[in-house]
Amino acid sequence: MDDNALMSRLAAGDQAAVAGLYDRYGRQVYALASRMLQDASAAEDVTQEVFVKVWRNAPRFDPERGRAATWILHLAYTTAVDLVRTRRKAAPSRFDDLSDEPDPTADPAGAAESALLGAQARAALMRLAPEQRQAVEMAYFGAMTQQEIAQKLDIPLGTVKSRVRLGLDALRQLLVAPRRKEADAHGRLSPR
Amino acid sequence: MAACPRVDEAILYSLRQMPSGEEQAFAAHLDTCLACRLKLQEIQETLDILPLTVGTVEPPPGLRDQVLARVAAEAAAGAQQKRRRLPPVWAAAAVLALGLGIYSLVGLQGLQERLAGFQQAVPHVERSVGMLGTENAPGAVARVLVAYESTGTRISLQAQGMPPLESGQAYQLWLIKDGQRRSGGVFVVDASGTGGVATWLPDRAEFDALGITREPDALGQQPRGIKMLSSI
Repeated sequence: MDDNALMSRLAAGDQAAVAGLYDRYGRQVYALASRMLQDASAAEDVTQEVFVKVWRNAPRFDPERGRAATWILHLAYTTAVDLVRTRRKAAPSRFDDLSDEPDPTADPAGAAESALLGAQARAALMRLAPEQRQAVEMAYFGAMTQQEIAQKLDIPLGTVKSRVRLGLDALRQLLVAPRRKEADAHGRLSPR
Repeated sequence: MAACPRVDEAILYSLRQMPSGEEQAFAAHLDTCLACRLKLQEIQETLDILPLTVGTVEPPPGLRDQVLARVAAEAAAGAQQKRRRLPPVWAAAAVLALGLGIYSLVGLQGLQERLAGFQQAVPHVERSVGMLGTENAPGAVARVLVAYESTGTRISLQAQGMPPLESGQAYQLWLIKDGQRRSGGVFVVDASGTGGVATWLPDRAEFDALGITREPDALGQQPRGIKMLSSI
């Protein structure tokens, strides 16, 4: 059963469909939350919250607007961002040092397509200029505002804005644009 | 298509870095600006790939069951709300107190005195843990004091700024160790959102973190409700 079928069952009130989506994406959600929060217990909380949100919001999911996997990981990101910021207000020092490297406990045995895309994405990230990669990672995984990054790195805000923008542009050229061209060549466009 | 001077704001919007007022204003702007919509789509497509760079990490084995239990509880709560038939919390809490071996479930009246008495009776509080509200309980705070004795563990909790409970619901403290949750007591709150509980557990109750959930009743052995506070 594909993801859209599971989402349809979920929207119809079938709780068992949550298990199917958890089995497919629970490890990715947990990995992202672990990376962002650097705290296993908080990552569990986020993972729980994400799949409850998936359950609650399933009727609003529109497969025409994107893949279920993208939607679930976006929910994971926004849930983790909110928690990172709440916790940072309470204990700023906990979030000062973010690892630049992927989690060493990462399990490479994900779904084949995700694993391949993940490897491509990691390679693309490593091809960015180091200062751009650092700015993108601090903004995305660290959930830091550009002002906070400027203060942390002791550089002008305008420099941070440029690094984030150039980093995202470069990632797009390395990852998204080739996929779009390929999809166009096969006569199918990405829904998002 | 003419470039919009606000197009660079799409990055801040995508990264959720705008203050809420500006975020709403930019969302309204998106409705009328094709350039910003296209830019936002470009950025979002790129950002959507970043989670994949992290790979996958195996969650703790109990997490799947907890997720499914919470969804089941949500589904049941939805159905229950429709029926508008909820059990009284104190009857349920009394049953739980017996079932979990909880020493005492503290009423709201005299809570401060009981907690002060607890601290006097147990001068060597070994752990004092602060807790902070999640997005479900912004502004809520709690303090948990833990004392390990030769015969067991005494836990006291005092919470403030908690959202009101519906009839039959209860807050529940969880001790989290290696991904496993163990109840640390249930409590309700008064109209000001203040409440607490003093608990005795008959062993040395170690934990890595604490959580407080809002439960559909006071009978749960595992979390079914949403997380309201986390330890910091």
